[in-house]
Amino acid sequence: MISESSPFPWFSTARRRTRRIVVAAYWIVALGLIGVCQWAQFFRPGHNPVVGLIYPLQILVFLPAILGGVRAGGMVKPFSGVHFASIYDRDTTQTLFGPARPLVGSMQASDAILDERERLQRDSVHFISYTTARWIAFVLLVLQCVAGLISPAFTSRFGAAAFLLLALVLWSLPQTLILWNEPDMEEQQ
Amino acid sequence: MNAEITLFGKRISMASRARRRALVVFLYVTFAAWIVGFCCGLRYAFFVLIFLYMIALLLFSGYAGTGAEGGDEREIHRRDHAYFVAHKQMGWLLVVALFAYSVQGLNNLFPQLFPPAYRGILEALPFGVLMALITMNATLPAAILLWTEPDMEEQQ
Repeated sequence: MISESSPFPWFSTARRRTRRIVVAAYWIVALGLIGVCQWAQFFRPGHNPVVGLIYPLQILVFLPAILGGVRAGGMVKPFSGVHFASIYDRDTTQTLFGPARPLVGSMQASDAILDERERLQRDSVHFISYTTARWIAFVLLVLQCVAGLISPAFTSRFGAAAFLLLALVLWSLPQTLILWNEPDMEEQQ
Repeated sequence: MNAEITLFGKRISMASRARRRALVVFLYVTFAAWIVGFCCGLRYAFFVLIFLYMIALLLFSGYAGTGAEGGDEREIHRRDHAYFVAHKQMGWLLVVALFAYSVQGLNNLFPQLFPPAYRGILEALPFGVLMALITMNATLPAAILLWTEPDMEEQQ
């Protein structure tokens, strides 16, 4: 399930320990960015489109690309496979007319199709991730209600960060589980 | 997945896929009617719609379960795959929720863009999307399973 290509050209992600460090760093950065979003929302109340949409979308577009799964070029193979052969073997030139290239890293032909074991593993981690997100959503809803009881003004200050946290969990937790649990791979010579 | 459901002591067969699909459609149609009623400011019809939606939700949850019941290997694989499909849809729905949340900001920035008649709908949009998110979160994987599983053999 781990891609043979790496988004980090200066070190290999074949070892589990390295992958765990990357995943830990990813979540620290992601939670820090959500914290910034919440801070801006809390001290600048009101419905700010920059905090509410543009900044979260930037986070959602760029962060999960590092872990992979949602698109080619990350540490995990694309979950839904890749159906355009022309995005293999990315070179340094972007052709003007043609299909899109991966944003990060390069892609191997072996990433395009998941075998039976990988498909089962993919579905299994999505089940865990979905049920986890369900509980997180429930906790966030309770917190929102409690905040509303303390002061109705608080409820409007948690919206963007709560949605962003949930979206990031949904878009990153399956990859995190795979990267955290997969054993060491053989290094490529 | 059970082949039948007991409602007020009466057994109803759910072996046919058409019936299971009808249950899914009933749930989401009542939900959509409730949200539209809420956004349009309906008063009395709103309570009827929310009552219908609660009945549909209870019926659906009672039949479909929580997803944690387990089963044999084939059932677990099918369940996990349904969660994989639902997972992707939920990710996109959350982006829509973020968008709905920021629409009010657009409303403040460009007040001339939205006529006063639509402002109430825009104000109610985040709540509607939040409710959709909660409903989909709770029901979407089971709905996918109910929709896609083939006809079962009738219990004798």
